[in-house]
Amino acid sequence: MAVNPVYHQTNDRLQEELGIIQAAKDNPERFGPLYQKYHEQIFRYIYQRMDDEHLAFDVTSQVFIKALKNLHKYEYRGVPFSSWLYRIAKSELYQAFRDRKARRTVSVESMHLFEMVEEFEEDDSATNKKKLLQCLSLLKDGDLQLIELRYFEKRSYREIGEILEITENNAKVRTFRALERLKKLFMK
Amino acid sequence: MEKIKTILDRKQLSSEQIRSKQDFANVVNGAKGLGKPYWQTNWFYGTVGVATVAIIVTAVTLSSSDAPDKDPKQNNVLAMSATNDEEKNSVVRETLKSTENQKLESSADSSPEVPVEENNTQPVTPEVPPSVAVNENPVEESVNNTAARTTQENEVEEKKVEAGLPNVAGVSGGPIAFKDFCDPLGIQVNGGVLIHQYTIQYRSCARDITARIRGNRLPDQVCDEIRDCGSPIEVTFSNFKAEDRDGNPVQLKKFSLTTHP
Repeated sequence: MAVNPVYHQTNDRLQEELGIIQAAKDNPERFGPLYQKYHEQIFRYIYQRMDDEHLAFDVTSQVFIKALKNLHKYEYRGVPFSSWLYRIAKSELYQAFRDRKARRTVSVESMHLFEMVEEFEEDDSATNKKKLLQCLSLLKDGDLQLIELRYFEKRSYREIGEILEITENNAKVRTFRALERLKKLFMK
Repeated sequence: MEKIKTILDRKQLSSEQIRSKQDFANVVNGAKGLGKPYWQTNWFYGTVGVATVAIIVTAVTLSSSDAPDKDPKQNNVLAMSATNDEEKNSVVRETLKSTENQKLESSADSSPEVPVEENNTQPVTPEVPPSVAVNENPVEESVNNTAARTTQENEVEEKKVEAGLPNVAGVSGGPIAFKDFCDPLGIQVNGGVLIHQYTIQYRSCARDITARIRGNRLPDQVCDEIRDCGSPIEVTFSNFKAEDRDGNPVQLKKFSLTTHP
């Protein structure tokens, strides 16, 4: 699986990012470069899970407003700043589902379905793809989230672990179990 | 949350489209405008604090307004708790004496307030017996005070709805034998009306006594004092706080009895 270059960064880039964060703590206007850098990937993360494009942009803005507001609480722990933004995004998403009656959505590409059906050692038929889509909608949210992060967004286990605040190994185990449950649903 | 919706091969937005929606100024303004939650703001604590103090003050004021010794116009006030029908506890306390007595007492360097237990055999007779005699015209003063009080009470009485006649040992006015006056059943009202509080007024041993009594009975101190005086004494019962069987307040007319040995 390819490494996400926006997420995984060299130590120098991380330190540079940290310098911007420190400056932004004193002057919010200095947050601009981080906003430019992460806006798209945070939007895509939200839009992947939401069916309303305008609402997704609203929620994305809200994520950055919250981030800027709480920047003084941010502490560098050796992981990219984006993992902190993803956690805020996750929280804002759930709030949007509750307060704005937004609908939880899973955006899947045919290629992803093909890969999963192959992994289940089944035929790549239209029926199976449809069945897999139905099974995805039956999954628990925690499992669905892991499947999305790993198989649809192609994130590494390390990145998944940092977004979900679990270890890389734990992310691997949980993803495997989520896939097993999906397979079980699919084979019924 | 509704059932999860699945979208297959959704049209992806281009990076340019997403970038065109960036609005950093809005984010900065939003962060500045995003204040603390209302429960963390000073005005919230202030409002809650003021409201709490107001509620406490109101509660204290309302509860104390039920207390019997609040009429500042009364010169002589003897607050008592007599044996209640429901509550067998009884406490009697003497709180104030007449203004004239207080003046004289202060000049005589004596204490104006003496708490007294009901079971205590100490008589209600004031600790400064000759003090009234020192006054230039104490009887006239007392009569004037009593008359003023009576006028006020009459005004209140006129507004009340008349209920059953209260009585002591079946006598609801005029002369009453002393042994009947100190009837252990106290003041009775026909129709199951319960008296919770009342005011007693009498002139005993050249002293005006006004007392608020809890319960419907006559305190032993009052009986003792009237008996010790020996002469006929007119005793007025008024300001009844009474309830019927259903707990509804009942207005009772005041009445006077004249004791004779």
